[in-house]
Amino acid sequence: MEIGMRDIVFLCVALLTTIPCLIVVFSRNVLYSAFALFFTFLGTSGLYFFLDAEFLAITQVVVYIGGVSVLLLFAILLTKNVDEIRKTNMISGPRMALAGAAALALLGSFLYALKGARWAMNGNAAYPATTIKGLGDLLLSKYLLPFEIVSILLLAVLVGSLVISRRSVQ
Amino acid sequence: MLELIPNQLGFPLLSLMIFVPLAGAVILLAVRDARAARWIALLFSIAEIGLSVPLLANFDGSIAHMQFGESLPWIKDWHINYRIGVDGISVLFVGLTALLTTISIMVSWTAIQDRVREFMIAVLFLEAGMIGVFVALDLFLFYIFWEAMLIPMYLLIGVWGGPNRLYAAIKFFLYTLVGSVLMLVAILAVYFSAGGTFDVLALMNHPFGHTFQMWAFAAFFAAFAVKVPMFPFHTWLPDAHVEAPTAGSIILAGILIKMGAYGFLRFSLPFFPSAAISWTPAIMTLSVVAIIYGAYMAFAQTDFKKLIAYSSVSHMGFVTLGIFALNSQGVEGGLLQMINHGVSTGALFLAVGVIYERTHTRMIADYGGIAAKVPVYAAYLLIITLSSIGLPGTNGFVGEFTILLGAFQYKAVYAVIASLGIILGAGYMLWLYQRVAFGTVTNPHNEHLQDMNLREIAAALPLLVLVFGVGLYPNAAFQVMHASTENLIKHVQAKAALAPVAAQAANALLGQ
Amino acid sequence: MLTSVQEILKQLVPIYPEFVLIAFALSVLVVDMFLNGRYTHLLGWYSLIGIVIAASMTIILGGVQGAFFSGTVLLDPFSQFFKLVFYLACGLGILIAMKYLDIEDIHRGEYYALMLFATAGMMLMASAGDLITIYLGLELMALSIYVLAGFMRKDSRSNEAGIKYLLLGAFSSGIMLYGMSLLYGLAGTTNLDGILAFLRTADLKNPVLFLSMVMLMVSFGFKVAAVPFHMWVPDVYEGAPTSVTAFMSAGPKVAGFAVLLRVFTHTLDPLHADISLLLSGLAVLTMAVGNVMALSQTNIKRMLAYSSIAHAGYALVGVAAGGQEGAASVMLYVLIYAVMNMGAFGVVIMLRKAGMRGEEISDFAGLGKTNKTAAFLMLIFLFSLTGIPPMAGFVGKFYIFKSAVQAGMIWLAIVGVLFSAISAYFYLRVIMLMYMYDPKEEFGLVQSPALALALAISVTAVIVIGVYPTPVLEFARASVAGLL
Repeated sequence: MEIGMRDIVFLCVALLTTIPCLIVVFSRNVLYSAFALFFTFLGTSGLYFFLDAEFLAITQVVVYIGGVSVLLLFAILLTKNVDEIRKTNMISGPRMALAGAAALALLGSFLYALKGARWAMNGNAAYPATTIKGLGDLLLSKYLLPFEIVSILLLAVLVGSLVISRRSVQ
Repeated sequence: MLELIPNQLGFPLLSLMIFVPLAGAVILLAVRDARAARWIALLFSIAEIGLSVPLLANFDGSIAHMQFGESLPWIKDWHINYRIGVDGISVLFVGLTALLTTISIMVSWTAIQDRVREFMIAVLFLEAGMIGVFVALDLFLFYIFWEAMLIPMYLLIGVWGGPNRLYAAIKFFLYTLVGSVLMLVAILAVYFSAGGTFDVLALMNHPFGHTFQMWAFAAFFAAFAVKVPMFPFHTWLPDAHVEAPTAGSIILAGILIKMGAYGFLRFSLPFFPSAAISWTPAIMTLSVVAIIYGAYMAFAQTDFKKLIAYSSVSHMGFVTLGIFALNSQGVEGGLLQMINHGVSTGALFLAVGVIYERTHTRMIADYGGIAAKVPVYAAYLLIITLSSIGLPGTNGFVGEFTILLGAFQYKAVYAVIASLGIILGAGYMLWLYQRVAFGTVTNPHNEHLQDMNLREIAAALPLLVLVFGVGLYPNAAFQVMHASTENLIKHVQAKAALAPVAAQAANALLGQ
Repeated sequence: MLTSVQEILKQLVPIYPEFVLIAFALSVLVVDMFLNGRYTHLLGWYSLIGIVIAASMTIILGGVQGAFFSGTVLLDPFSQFFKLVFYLACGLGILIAMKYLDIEDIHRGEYYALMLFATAGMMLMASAGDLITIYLGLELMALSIYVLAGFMRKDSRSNEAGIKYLLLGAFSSGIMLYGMSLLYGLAGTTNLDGILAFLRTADLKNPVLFLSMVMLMVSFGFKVAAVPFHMWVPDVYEGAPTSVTAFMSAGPKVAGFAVLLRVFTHTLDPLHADISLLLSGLAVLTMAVGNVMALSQTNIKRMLAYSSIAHAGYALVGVAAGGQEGAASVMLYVLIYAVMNMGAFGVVIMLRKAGMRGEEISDFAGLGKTNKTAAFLMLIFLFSLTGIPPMAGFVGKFYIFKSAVQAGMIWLAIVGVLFSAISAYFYLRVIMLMYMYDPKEEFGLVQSPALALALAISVTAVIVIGVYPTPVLEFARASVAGLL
């Protein structure tokens, strides 16, 4: 198999995604974890580019890196005794071994399954919509109802967060 | 082939018998006063006896068919009908149920002081369930009544029972439930293998394959053997009997444990005759073991009620011995003995209840010499003891004798061992009577014992009448059941002969 | 202008019931702002009106069938059946909550709004004709219930319940999305009928197909609380406000079964053999763990949590049996289960009053003396949960095991009935305490007209369905016709 430029770039992006992932999980300092998450999001966005999903990639950058991870950092920094959190992120030996074994088994079965897969969207099939216009058309035609459900969903989340965060019952 | 002869009386007699006690129970829900609750319950139970008069009077003993039949569609999607009717096998149990329920209510008149209304509701609900079990001709309907009965009986033991009632109640419930649910699966298998019907009469004629019969018989056996109870599934019985209030013991011994044997006659034998024949040696052996073991254990008891409970195990061994001899003497004797045992054990528990209410002890050692103090009671106890032993002239003799005849025809050795059980039975019962009634009064508490009062005598009288009635003129009972038992035996033999032919077809069905 | 509005309204007809519920939820939020706190319970009755209107619309729409909104929403008897169960669960949930929320001092309008949102989500799940709708409906339901579970903000157990449910729920959603995306990658469509059409011609040995099926099973198993995806259930059920626990045990679980049936007996039907095998394994595990763990509980909510796991196991037997009968038996079962379980929780909630938690099983001691009616109702619900006739629970179990035997899974039926017999032990323990022990202390129970109404509805349903199941049974069997 010939390794081209594209493959090398892909490899880099993939590593950019996965290595911070490991840091997120294994770091004893929650702040480091949060920063690592930042890179994971970035890598994911890169993977979207590889899939020709430019809009998704940009959205990923805007929403997750610009929004979510910044929020996350704020939340951590506003939390009292962040240092204490180190103690909560303890990983015990046997449990770790068990989790590792399960994860490896899962990975193995995934690899096995995906290796023999035959996908419907193979090759250079034309994707339904990758542009903003195309996506917009779809969201307001075929997926109108799901789109509306999402708005209700967000509303419910808003109400829920209000319930949780409101100072006290009057 | 058995048919369901529609009810000709102009009113739904059997349905009334099911729903009159239920109506009583519902009315009691609205009653607050304990005295009123007793009278209402008594009234409804007597009404039930009143209903059993036209039932017995109009019953035609010369035919084997199901009589007073009623059939209404119930759950159409599953082909379930509300089908009821009685034949010579079940009709006497219906009458016995009505009688024993009334007696139970009478003996509880002063014995139950706590939550009288709830007690009476439970008894009436139980009565409806028991009648339903005996008249149901649809397996689903039968199962509903069979399981629904557990609820009031559980409460009777658990709420109004003795000191160890909680353990006894839950043990009773779980034992019977486990057996029953296995039967439920078998009922479903039977339903599908017979092409989707719960109709008992249709299933009797369906040729099930031998292998299928073996499994289904075993599952039905699980439910019925626990209920009988057959050795070694009997361990719940002594606990339940000892802890249950007098009314509960009377109903339990008189009716409930008969249902297992009734189930053999009504379902197991006609549905699965070739399996029944294959299982016979094992069941006969278990029956004989139960006879001897029950008697042996009865000897060792110091508790009045427990002794009677073990004697029940022994006596029910006779019943199953007779039934599985699979000849007309055996089956008829077994059936008659079920009625007899209901009468005499019911009467024995009544006797225990009467004396317990006065002394609050069930220990045999606490009595002795009471014959001089309570002569009426002693005489009553003597008659019942003799009936239980099977003295000629009493009901017990006829039943046991006929069973032994049947068992002898099947295999002499079973009859010989079983008759050993009769001797043992005479031993423990007479010894019991001697310890309780004769000698000098050892317990000072018994010096001022009150004799049976009018209410108690009134409750006991019908049982005494039955003891001598059946003993002196057993034909009255045999005439009622003869046609049905003859038909059953013929049916079993004819269908068992067919089984090998049908085996392949049914095996193919099972294999799918 | 007018005609176009009419045109839009006409197109919205298939989702009118959901529309009504959401409209009521929004108006509850608005009215709540201006309402004096003493009258918050009026919002409960107001929400009930919304449910009744939505229910009547669903019934009126009974004749309308087909796929709408580009196939994302289906109207068929199957979804209508489930919607009616959801209305029932939500209605009963609101009725038993009103007084309880006062006692816990958490009576706020948002509670009802979230209940309605959750119900709308469940309805979308039942109606879903597309993987996307399933996911979104499920999230709408789940997010509302996460918040409801943590509604008692001052109670650390309630907080724990909310967080735990959220974290594990999010995890299971992730697994579900992974499974769905694999399925999409294979079939090239998220439409359920499209996937079925693809599977009819596809190579079923494809390992990815199996993988995605397993992932969907894991995530749906999480929602219906099947073992081994049940770890969250006892803690969440115990910690959540009791009225929410009651609703959770009926609503989301039933919705989970709606999706389970839709996806596994309809969409993935070509994989029936594999599914049946896996599901029967899950069913056995679920019945075993649920029933055995329930034996040793001392907290009534935890016991009912394990009991609800066990009941999910019985229902899974029906799903494993498959076919029309299997699906119909599951539908009948979840309906009956919802009613009787809500009833049991209704009695549990009566024990909660100021100064007494009323969550220990021992708190039931002597209830048969102090409050005869409540004890009698509990007796009926518990015998129904055990599956003793003439209560509805028996009919439900009977149908489940009947369909298992019909599908040739006699062994599964035997396992099921045996575990069912075991379950008698822990249900009877409560009855024993109520009737056979003396009360520890004299106490009155909390009573309210709403609670009385809820209990009256449940007990009537339990007895009527138990004695004469024919109409409900016919309804369930007719409703399944569209599924397959």
